[in-house]
Amino acid sequence: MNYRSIASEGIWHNNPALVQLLGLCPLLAVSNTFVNSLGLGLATLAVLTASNFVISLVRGLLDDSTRLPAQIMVIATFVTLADIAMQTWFFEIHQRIGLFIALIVTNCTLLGRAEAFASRQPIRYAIFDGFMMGIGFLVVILIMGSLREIFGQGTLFANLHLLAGTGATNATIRFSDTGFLLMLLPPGAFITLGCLIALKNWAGSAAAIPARPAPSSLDAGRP
Amino acid sequence: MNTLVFRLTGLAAVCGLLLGLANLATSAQIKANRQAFAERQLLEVTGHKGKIRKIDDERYLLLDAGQPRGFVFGVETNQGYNGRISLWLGVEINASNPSKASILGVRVRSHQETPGLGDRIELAVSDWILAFNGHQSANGTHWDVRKFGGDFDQFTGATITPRAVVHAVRDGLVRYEQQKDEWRNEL
Repeated sequence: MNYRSIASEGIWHNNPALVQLLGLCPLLAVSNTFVNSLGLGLATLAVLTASNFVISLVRGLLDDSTRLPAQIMVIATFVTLADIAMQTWFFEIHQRIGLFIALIVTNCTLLGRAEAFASRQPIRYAIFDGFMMGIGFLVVILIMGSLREIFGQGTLFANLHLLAGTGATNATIRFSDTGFLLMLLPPGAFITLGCLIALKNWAGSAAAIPARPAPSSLDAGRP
Repeated sequence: MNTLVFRLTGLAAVCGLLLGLANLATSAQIKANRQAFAERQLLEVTGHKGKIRKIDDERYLLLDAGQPRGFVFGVETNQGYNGRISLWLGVEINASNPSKASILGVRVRSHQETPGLGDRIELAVSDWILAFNGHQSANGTHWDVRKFGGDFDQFTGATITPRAVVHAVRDGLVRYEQQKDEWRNEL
């Protein structure tokens, strides 16, 4: 166990969105624009890191019968805290994606990491694992949000000021005045995610499997 | 077993305490945010610069130097393509003819119309909704979309949604003219 392997697991080899296929509900529903994706991705990252920390902290106090309820309680607490924090500091973005902040509690990435990792590992590894898994989720949802916003409504970074403050008021990049509507609707989410998973598998297998040996002369005459 | 129960209860107590403290620390700010957000929306609907006084959650009075200038109130319709369309309708009291009102502005509060088609009623998507500004109920406005002989554009491929909004605005004006004296007396 070392930090390097935890990082590569979270971001690439065991990416929560592309490999574990966990947390698909928020991933598909909220990734329609960049700024929505950023809001949900950051909230998930914060909750995942904090819940991994506390679950690792209390792991010695619990046994098999009390572990799961305790984990859910810790996760629900941090989700509610994130919800409150967002209402306090980013009210307008909360108006748009508030429902899905509460639903982070049902994101199986959180319970999955709590059960599979944080409840068995020392605190420092648990925190780092939560953070890297959160980064893995954030990167995927940001890519999906960017692609869907660009192709769906022809813009990128629209409404960024809701999260980044008034300095980002003019951050919107406009590629076109119209977009490909399907990308904003639910099918666009599935198509985008499917393409990303395929791309990930292709890149992963291209790296893992050495090039095939050239066909020998024996194969030449076969159909 | 008992110790486990105590530990779980203790953990729950800590979680509850944490949430209670967070709520205590932020509830005033959240309430202020909600209020500011609602007022910003109302000011944006009307272009009003003065004060706003709340009558109830659905009705607000616009004040200009202490004098009533107009109202902003909620209007709803079920005639849309998908579910309820909820609007803010801002009207200005007509000084020369107090029984009539002219529209300061209309905005969509919430809707579930089809993205890319019906959602052009949102100002963020198109400025169609601004076509209501200045219309009065009595100056010969035909409250329908052009396809049905009215004064308002429909959208290509979507007639139901803009028609529902046009009719809702018309009905809102009628309601206002019937009830405005009661509204003033409620203040």
